[in-house]
Amino acid sequence: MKRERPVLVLGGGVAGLTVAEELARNGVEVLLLEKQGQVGGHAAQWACMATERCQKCSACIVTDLKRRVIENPLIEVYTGGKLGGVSVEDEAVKAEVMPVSESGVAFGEGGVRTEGRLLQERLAWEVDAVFVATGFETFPAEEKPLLQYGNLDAVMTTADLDRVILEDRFDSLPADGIPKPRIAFLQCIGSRDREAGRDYCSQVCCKTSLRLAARLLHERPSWAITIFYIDLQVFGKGFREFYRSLEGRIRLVQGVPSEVLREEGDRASLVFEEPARGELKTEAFDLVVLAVGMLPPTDAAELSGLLQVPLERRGFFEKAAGANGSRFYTVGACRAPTDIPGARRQAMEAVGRYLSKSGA
Amino acid sequence: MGVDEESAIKMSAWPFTKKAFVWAVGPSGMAVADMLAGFSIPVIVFQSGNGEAGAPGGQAADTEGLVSVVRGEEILRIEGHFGQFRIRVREKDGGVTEWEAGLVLILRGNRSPETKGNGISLPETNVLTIDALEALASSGGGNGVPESLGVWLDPGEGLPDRALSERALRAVLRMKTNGKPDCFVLARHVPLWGLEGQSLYDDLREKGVRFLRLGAERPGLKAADGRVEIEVQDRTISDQAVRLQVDRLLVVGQPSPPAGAGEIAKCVGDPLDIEGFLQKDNVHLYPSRSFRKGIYYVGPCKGEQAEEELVEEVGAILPEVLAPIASGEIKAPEGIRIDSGHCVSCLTCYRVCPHHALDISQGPTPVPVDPACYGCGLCAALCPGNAIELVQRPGRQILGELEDADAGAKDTPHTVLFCCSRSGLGPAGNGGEDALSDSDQTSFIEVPCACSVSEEMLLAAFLRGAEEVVVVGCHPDNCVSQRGSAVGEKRTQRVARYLAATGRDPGDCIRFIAVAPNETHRLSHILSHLDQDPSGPSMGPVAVSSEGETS
Repeated sequence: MKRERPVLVLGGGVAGLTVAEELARNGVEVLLLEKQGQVGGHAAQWACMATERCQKCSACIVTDLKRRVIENPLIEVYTGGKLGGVSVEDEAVKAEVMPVSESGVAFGEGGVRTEGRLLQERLAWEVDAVFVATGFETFPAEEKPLLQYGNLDAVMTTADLDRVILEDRFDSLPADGIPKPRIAFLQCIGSRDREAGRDYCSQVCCKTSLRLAARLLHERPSWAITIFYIDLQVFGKGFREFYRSLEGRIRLVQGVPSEVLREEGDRASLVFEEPARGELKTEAFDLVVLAVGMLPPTDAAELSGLLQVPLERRGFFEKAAGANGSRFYTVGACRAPTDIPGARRQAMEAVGRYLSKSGA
Repeated sequence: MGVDEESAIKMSAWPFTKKAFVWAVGPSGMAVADMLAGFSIPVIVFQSGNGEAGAPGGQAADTEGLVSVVRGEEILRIEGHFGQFRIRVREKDGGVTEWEAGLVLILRGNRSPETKGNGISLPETNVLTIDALEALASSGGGNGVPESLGVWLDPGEGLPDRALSERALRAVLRMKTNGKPDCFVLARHVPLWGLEGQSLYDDLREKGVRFLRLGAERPGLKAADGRVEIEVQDRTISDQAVRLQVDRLLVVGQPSPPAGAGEIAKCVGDPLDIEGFLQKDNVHLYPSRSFRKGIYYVGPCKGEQAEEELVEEVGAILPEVLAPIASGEIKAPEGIRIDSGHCVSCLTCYRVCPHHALDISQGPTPVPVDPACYGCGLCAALCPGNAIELVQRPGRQILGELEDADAGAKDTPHTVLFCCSRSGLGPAGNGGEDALSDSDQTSFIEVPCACSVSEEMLLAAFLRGAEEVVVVGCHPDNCVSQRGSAVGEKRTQRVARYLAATGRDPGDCIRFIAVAPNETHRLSHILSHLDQDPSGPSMGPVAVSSEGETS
């Protein structure tokens, strides 16, 4: 009594890969559709944050998960594709999938490298259920021109810095090679902005910046690091202890400067209020790291229309099922900002719900 | 990886043949039992001490067909393994009963000190608990609601319990719809939980709640004229001293581990985490696994968590337990074999196995328990009698591969890397298109865990001409088998001492490197710098494949 139809998973990031693996573990065939050329999502671009010990960033989980999913005989990984249409019938969900290249993205030779099977043409799949795991977008820092992202080499995002560490290119950082360079992290870039309709905390950026700071200090102990924050969100298993371990090693300043000024020698300077004296102060930095927040996926509205699964007011998917009942599940950061363990927990939970329903 | 058709059939045919055992304190045990029962899983709920529900003397009281409640004094041991646990319970009269279950959920809250226990001494009439505040909030205003209220979020480092803070602030918001009380929130960091945290904060401010920003120094508190006088340096307005009086003060502290965490961990055979909470802080265990398959920690006993996370994490256990507890059997590959001729029954294997994969109840020689085994080889590595062999990847097979790997490269100086299958192997072969690969100068040998690299293997690599031998294991606290990587590192150091004793400088030719599976570039970088170390004599080229080179 094998299940007659496979399950479709939209999105090959942490949440989607976890859904696929957990379904396959229970004998369910999976079609995983990723719009990029490769699976792994944002997390595959994140570096290991270990210093003398593991700092629990969980990025390592993704590498192995990705390999296991690609090798799993019950999972068919399609890349470069997206959902084109969907209809629900009594027994099945009919999903039409289409290549992203129809929208002008080039894959394969001369284009983006691909994993799994590159979707070349429109296909119609009959599936038992659809899991939406389309993840998030990072806030485009260019949208805040005063921060000089893209104009000044000394300004980069946390995502950029992660990439530098992943590729072990510390020497490419503008602060490297300078005696006692000064580094600033600016928190809440794109988050907690009521006027822009983003009145939420992205949940992960404070931890990301603290881990990045610890990683930089591990690699370059002489660097002086300042973190400008609104409210540090230092929560989670073991994280208070990690925070204590940074005491005295980084400077914390409450209040986030809204402007980066260009200094001589392409350094960046920040104007902020000195907490002890309450006076305005200007300091120059060799590297300014913008802790960019998490936005809903760009195609959330389109998918929401196709699946009739509603979005909450900021554009994230509502939890679980919409008008079509139990056949659609939403998991991971497309539902709200979350970290890797959170995305995995949601993915496993949704699979549990699906299995207990379909197994009965 | 996949489950075969047979078990898929069994799973779809409820009911489950195995029960879940929920070890709980308080009413939340029943909530979790109901959740599991909602998935048709039969549940035994154990609650310690006396109570109303359930029959005494360890007799199960059938509640809803699927849920039985068992009472007893304490849990003595959890024996057996995933699919077949035997839980020994000490009764009030001193007798011992044993319960069988396929999986075990350990459910506990944490301790979040409010007001008392934070070094604050104020008269009872001036303090408020969260429960009391919530009761006032739902009473719809009126009697008992103070005219003014202070809420101090963590007098310690300014990192209060998020779940409790949210409860307190939501209760304040409910009260403020009726106007009262005047409320002041004292905080270094306002905790924002989930998508709605910021709008809760915004709504409170709109309703006139004042947030005072604390620095490192504690506000001054004293009882005066039946009220509490608070003196605080408010950081938001340039360190101005603010003096205010409130009728009641509520303090939300940091969460601390549940009572008896140490005993519970001992009963499971697990370590505690760095802050003393249950579940070792190891990313491979998240969300709720222990080092023993089939035993899970749920609830805030692992550290701070939101209420909705409990529901999620109980559901998250299902994908890995449904099929095994439905079929009643767990198919697992054979992990290790023990040669009873060499075994001296010292039980070292039993003591060192982090996964409890050895059964010592069946005779002088321990018996391997495959459903619990991770195949790390820690037992084999530490067995003084050399009586244990890994089945999937026996030592002699690795020694054989060493010979093959070196056969073609005997004349060129080369490096042999022993790579842990969970970490080092990531960069060396399965980490995508950038992965390092074998070359004339580099051979990668897969090992189940860094601890499964024996002294014999390390020396054999040298004997077969390796210029340098590297053991690649996990970062500390990232090892799936807890101590595997540490044992691997120790053995590497031991061989380094052997080499030093023969007059060779071990700094030049043997080392342990900790990497994560996604650290291809870092490993490649370390390897390409080995020969450039100016402190030692040149060891010849130690190259990696060109794909792996970094800029």
